[in-house]
Amino acid sequence: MRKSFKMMAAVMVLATAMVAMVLTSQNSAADTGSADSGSISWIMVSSALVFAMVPGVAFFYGGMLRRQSMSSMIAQTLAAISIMSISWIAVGYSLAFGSDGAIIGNLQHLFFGGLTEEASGGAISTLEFATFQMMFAIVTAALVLGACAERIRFNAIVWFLIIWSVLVYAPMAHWVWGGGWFDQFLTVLDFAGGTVVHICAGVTGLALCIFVGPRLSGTRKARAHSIPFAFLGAMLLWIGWFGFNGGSSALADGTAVHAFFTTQAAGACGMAAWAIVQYIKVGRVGVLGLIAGGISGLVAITPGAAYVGFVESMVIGAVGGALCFMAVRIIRSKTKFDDALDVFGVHGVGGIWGAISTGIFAKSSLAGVDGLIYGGVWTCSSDR
Amino acid sequence: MAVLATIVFCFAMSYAIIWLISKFMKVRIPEDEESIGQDIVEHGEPAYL
Repeated sequence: MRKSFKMMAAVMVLATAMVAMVLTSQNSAADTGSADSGSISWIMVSSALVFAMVPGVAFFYGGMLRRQSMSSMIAQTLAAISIMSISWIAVGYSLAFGSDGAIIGNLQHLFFGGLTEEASGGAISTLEFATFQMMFAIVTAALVLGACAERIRFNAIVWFLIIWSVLVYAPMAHWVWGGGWFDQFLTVLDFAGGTVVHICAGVTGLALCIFVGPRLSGTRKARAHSIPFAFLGAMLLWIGWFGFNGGSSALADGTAVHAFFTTQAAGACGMAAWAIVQYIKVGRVGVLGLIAGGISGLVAITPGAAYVGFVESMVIGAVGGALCFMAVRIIRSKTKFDDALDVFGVHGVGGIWGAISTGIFAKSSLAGVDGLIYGGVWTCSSDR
Repeated sequence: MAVLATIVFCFAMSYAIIWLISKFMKVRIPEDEESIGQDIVEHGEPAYL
């Protein structure tokens, strides 16, 4: 058994290298249009900020586990960086953004073939966009890890991520952003990835934790081994979120500023709302509740960051915080699922609320279409 | 609608992938190894000494 896997891995690496060699020979000529250096800079910084969320996830999740699971969490996160990057470069980008076919893209950009580094016409270059998107793929994979932490085998999660990156993440990105059927037949407002990143990560996490089964009761009851690490990770996530949402207009423009602001407003309101509800229900508030509340607010605003007004963003964040608290409480007490780090409770539920609330609160002056309140109809689910 | 499609697709596909993997290898660590912790049993690298 072991031998066959080694063989399989070796064959895959060889095949990958050969395809890469063929494809690198077709680099396209540099574009010579005008370039917007402000946008180029901001998206490069945003890419780096989004990447900073990945170690953030490792600290955030690792800190909340037992002390004997810390390196395991870090190792899995590092594996996610490597797997998702290679997969995105090799096939992911092409499948997601290769063409506007309803189901999936094409294979013309394997190994980033045909992408140019020179920007033109005031937009960022295709290479910069593809790199920015690569960071999103990594973060999504890293978020999944929290659901099955402390019990899934390292080998199993490595194989899972390799297959998942091609069969789940790339199609999702294509459907929502790459011109797939969500885009063609439904009006989906997903500014920065509420659906692709958060709902997808949350639901994938739920599937994994159900399949793998719960941890031992002793492991489940164990307390977070390092509150400072959880705090550090959560704050890295929060800082990264400014690039995640602020960079998602792919330009350094007013939309980016709008999204940057609503991100902070929703995070703050999510934290406050979670804290208030927890205080009422449990009688005390601590670090873990405050950071989970903040993250819930940030998740909730992700799909609508650029599409909703200032006050609406605060409402979305606050409701997100309260809703995620209730969801986590229900999942923990009423179900047998052992979602170790509340990936579904926070990212799944927060992402679903974010997608729905964007449909409710979107303003046509910002989003191009009105939501329930400003338009009076469910544009979210009607045909364009 | 799109949200529903996302939930169904991601859940079904992820479940299918991990099911497929479970046919080739053990996906979870045994109970006694879980109490010791993955840092030691899988990676041989405890985070704290």
